[in-house]
Amino acid sequence: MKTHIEHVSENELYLLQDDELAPVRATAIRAHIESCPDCAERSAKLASFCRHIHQAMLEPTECSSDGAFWVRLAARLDEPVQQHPRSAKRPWLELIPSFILAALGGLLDTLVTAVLVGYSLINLGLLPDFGSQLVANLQSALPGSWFAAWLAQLGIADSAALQAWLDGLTTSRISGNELGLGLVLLVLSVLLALVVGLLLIWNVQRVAQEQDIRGVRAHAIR
Amino acid sequence: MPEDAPEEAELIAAAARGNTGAFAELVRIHRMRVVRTAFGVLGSQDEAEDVAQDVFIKVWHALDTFQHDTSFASWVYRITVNTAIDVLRHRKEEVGLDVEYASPLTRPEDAALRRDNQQRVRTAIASLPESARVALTLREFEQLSYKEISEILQIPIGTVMSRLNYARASLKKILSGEGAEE
Ligand SMILES: [Zn+2]
Repeated sequence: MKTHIEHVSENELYLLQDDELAPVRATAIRAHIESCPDCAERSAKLASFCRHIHQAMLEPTECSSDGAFWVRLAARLDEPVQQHPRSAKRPWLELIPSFILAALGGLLDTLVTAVLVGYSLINLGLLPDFGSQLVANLQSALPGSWFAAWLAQLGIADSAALQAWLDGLTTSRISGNELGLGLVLLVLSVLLALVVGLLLIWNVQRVAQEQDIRGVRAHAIR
Repeated sequence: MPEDAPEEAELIAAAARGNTGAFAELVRIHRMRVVRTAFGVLGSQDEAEDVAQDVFIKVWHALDTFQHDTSFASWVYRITVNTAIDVLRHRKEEVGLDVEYASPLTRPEDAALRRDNQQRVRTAIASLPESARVALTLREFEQLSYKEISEILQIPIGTVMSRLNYARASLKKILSGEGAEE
């Protein structure tokens, strides 16, 4: 007897087995299996495989009785909400990455903001140029030191050349609109502080949520 | 998943108000489901009982958050799967692997053939990735529909199917490979 379906795919054999096919399709496939020895054999093998798995996963046989189970449970009902065992044992361990991230972020933020704010203030003329003074002082105080060697490497041999170099770094690039650049840098540093701050808050919240997921509430269905 | 029976809804409401008698009845109704599922995922009888205890403690504390847009059974299954997976991950961290799947269940008086057979299948199941093992447990052990499994695991039905296909194909491969060796 000829039917209009091709041989049944393994996927559909499983779907039939699991009773997950639409009734019309299931009927068509059953009809094909009845008429096709090939598919009939595959279907039988698959059914036997599933039975095999099912039997190997037989119910646990040595369960405690309802009563014993409840007695043990009832004794724990008043316990405070239990944490995930790993969190309970080593809660600090899970927070370490967040601490490191927070510390690094804070450090970076402080450094960059300090540099930007200092740079802005100097450009606005609100601060004397401590940087150049310090560098010059250091250079004269530590002749022959690594610092002087480093400056020499940069092609700066004496304090006059250093001053020229520092002037080159600052004034030459911003000449014409120091106030504008200073303001822009100030705004940028505030924005950066804001972004890093938000990132830190987000990270701490994420860690808190992860902890919560291991607890009770997050297991509840919304 | 079928709607909760009206009596069960009353039990849930009473238990959420702190009535331990009502909660005891809910535990009686759902305990074996929880133990079986945990056993399917973990393969160990003792751990399955411990997980069942933890699951019902969690259920007890979270009863007031249970929403009736899903069935109680499916909610309990989900808590069970999550709790069992937590234990599984914790165990892997401590031991490095989990090959002792279900050995406590094989009793000496069992027929040797059946025991070997069960042990082989269980060892094969233990080698599956956790997601495939969970899907297989809910299907083969609990005989749940794809829709029910998708509800419990909060994944699309297509994903349920692919996880099941993967689990079955892998088992077939492992078991037939083993058979060839023997
Ligand atoms: Zn055919």
